[in-house]
Amino acid sequence: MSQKNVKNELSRRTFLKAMGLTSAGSALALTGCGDTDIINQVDLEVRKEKVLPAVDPLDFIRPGREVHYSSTCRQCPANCNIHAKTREGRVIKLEGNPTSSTNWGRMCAMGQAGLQGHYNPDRLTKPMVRKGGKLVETTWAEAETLLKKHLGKKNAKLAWLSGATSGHQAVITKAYLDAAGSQNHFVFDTVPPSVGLAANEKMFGHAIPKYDFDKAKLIVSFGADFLGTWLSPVQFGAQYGQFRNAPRGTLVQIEPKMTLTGSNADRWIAIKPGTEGHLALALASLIAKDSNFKGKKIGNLDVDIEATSAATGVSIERMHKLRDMLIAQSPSLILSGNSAEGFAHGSQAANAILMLNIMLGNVGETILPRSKPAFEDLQPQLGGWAEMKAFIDGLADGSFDTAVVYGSNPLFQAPDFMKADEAFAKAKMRIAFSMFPDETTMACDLVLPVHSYLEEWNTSVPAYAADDGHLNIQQPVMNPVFGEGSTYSYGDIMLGLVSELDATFKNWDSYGAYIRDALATMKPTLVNPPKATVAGQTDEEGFMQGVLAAGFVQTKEAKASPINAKASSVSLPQGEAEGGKYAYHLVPSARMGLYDGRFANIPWLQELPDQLAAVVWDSWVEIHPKTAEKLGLITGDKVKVTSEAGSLEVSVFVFPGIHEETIAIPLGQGHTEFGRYAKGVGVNPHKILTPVFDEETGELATHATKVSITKIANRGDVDTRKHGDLVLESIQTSQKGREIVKSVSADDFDHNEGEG
Amino acid sequence: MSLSRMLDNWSRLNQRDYYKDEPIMWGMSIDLNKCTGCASCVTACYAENNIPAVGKEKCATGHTMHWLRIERYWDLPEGEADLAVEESEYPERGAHFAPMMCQQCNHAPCEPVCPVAATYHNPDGLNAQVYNRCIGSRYCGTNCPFKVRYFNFFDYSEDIPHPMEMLLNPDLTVRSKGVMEKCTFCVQRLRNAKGDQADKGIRGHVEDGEVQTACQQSCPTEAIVFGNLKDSESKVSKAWEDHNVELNRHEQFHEEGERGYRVFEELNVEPSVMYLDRVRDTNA
Repeated sequence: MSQKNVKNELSRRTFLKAMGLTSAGSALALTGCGDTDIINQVDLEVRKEKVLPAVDPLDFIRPGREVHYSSTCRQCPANCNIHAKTREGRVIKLEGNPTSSTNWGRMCAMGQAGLQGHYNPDRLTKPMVRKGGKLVETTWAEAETLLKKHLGKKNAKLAWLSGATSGHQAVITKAYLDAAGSQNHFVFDTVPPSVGLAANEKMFGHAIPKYDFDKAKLIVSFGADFLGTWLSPVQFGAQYGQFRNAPRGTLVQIEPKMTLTGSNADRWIAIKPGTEGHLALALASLIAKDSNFKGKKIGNLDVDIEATSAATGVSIERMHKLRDMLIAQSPSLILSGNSAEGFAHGSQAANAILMLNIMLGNVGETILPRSKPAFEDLQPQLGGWAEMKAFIDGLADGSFDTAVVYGSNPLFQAPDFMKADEAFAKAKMRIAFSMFPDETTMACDLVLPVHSYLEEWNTSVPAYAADDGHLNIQQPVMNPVFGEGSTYSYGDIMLGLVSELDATFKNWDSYGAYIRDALATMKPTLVNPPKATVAGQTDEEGFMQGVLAAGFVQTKEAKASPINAKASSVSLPQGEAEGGKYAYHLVPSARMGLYDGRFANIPWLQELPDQLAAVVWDSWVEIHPKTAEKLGLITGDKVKVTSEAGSLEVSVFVFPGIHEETIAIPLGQGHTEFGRYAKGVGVNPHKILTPVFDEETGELATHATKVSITKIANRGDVDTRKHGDLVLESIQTSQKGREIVKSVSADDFDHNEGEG
Repeated sequence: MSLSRMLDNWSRLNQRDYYKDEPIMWGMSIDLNKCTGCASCVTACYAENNIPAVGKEKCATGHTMHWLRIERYWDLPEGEADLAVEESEYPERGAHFAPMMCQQCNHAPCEPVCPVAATYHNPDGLNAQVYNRCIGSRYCGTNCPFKVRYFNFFDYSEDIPHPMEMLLNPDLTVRSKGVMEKCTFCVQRLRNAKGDQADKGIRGHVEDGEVQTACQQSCPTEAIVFGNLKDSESKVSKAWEDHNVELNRHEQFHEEGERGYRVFEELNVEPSVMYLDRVRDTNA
């Protein structure tokens, strides 16, 4: 294409023509979002030089000068807004977008490491097709023919599994499935707390209400790791920073395995897994009976405190202390997280915990309502295990004949008992849209290599939106790493597919054009839509440029009506079934870093020491020192962890931050595929989970598995960084009296600190 | 540089107030009340500074190159017994985290031992490392009380698989075998900021907030504050002032509410990084 075309014609449509975005006769529209395209749409530059659209790119990209593009991080469902720093046409650093209410210019380790996913040497660069039982590389032409053959028709037996999705990505997936006559869209993401969200929905009318951490004087979190993996760690991290300013709020974390959030608590309380709800009820009862409590009492709160203390392992004095704090430090915020909810009675436990908020008058103070979204279709779908199970069950019983997977890895995540691989193998046709050769991708018949989130157009909605109506915009920040024609964007392929079945989608040449058109259509519904800022610019151009430079838009939303909280009665099981030979509770813990395993192919994150255990490049099982002593184990020994559903061999890490009757194996490792950095490293605790499901939501009870431990090998006597096979980044746990990290009591904390 | 001039410079550099009239002295403040140990800063540092991931084997032999690491301890230092929890099997007050990077000592023990003056103090108060002068004696690493100097035992840059080399930051080098490296306070960003100011004809002053280090920029809780200690209006010098931390002291004296200290300041190395005490509500 010639630069002259671009210079003379500023209209977007003409410009698209100039770019030659349609590959004639093909269902697949080429992305074609090269440098030139970006340059004409964006002008966000930190150097604050005014960049006009359609200037010569050589003027714009000057060697030695960085250019920042606004886009969105898609590493986890939190969807933070980012500025991608590019130099000479390649992205070299991701930074937070300071104007975003989701992350306020901040980013987490996983977001930073998105670059190594984007530039990963194991990325798929050619489509693959199964021939004679083996996946072999093929051409896009052949892949496209196959794709049209299998997906270019109506098929009620088509099943589609996505990772957490939102925005126009969700819209186009739904549009295609509607056109194809399939009702079978499933969404699965490992970490979002689906049980708790369902409980929120029932109690507050919002699956994810707004939280005001700063206003809370006390946060009591039952296993919600909001600084690590819970919903939107950067958002909550920023709120936590405010919360810790004067007047300093108090954080109490109650959970069986210390999370990153727990390690920052003023009081961390180890609780026996599965009894979090019981403790919450006991607290409610204690509060209701206290003469200082003036709030409303809910339901029948006749709880045997002594029995609860025995069952939970939390002393009566501690409960009294918590009661006093909850009454005195109002408003507070009570959160329920994965480790409280992963049981057969998970929904009931979440109800018991969240109910405390109603009693203590936190609703309307620290738990705030949302408005009804203006665009329902764009809202995030976080999914959960129930949908994954439905997907697998449908494949197993032959209800589905074609399986499509995008952004999810069911064969890695699903426990062995689900027999996901067998069910998957039954499908006549299995198609993966994938960036990496992961377990599911390698079991498919047709593999379509897709763009990374830094190469494609999209929109998304953050799982936790600090402002209602927040819509993120994602734009390519560079040319595709592997060149034009090697990978395609999911959106473009979907647009091609849907336009085969639904002619209205033939209006758009590319997914990028579709997104831009959608944004232009939304203009009247937006809060302060950008205007033309440069002489000679039409309103349309000014709007698009402004929107892309901002990286997000906000739709006008109706005023949120106050939360009408409904407490439901809670029934919790009394006593626990004897585990028999399985004496220990297994916590499969997600952590900031490898998350649920999707980042195991990122060397930066493999080498990022676990925040608490300091282990790198491995899996380990956390065992309390007392338990370890009883079992004769030291850090580095190898043990076999056995549940009814299977067993794993893993190295021991003796760790005080875990309940004595509990062991924890972090998620993230145990890949059998997934490239050079991930394959063959560690174990996946999900594999040995037993078939227990939450009775109300049908979600897998991820924390309900009980296990036994047997030693299989000694690590040896030498105490070095290398403990057997386990590598610790730091073997030192004690300051040895030195003042490296000094502490003071909050009483001494200057109560004027942090203000202004 | 003649030997006599080098030695002369050397003795002057080791005079404490040699750079006292320079307009810029970069410093940092890290609030351990807010630091959650999430390690966002660690990865940001890897991305910004072309730090290689060395793999499990080399981690095991202590070759990890993290310029910025999170120190994590489970016990209190001496003299804080009143903050300890009652008898418990569990660490009920959580962990003790501190991001640890080169403290840019003003009286740096690493500088005088370098046989080739590869590490020296620059006028902006940075403890600079000249890679192409370094001969790899590792004396500096031995002498560093914070153990924040990292030696390239291997040529990691040769092993970067395509296309991962594309994410390298062209503003700084990839270091080769035999060279010592460490945190620079993102000197490439500082130089850029100063250069931009110079373009406008302003020298010796960078507006507070105009430049951020990569770790500071990514920190979700804003625990890290960075800036010019010589600029009395900068956030960092206000933080130092608020917490009554001063250079040229090897012990800080606190009024109530002042939490500032420098790690190992009793060694008289004059770090440019101030930490603020971790805080725990002992009534909880």
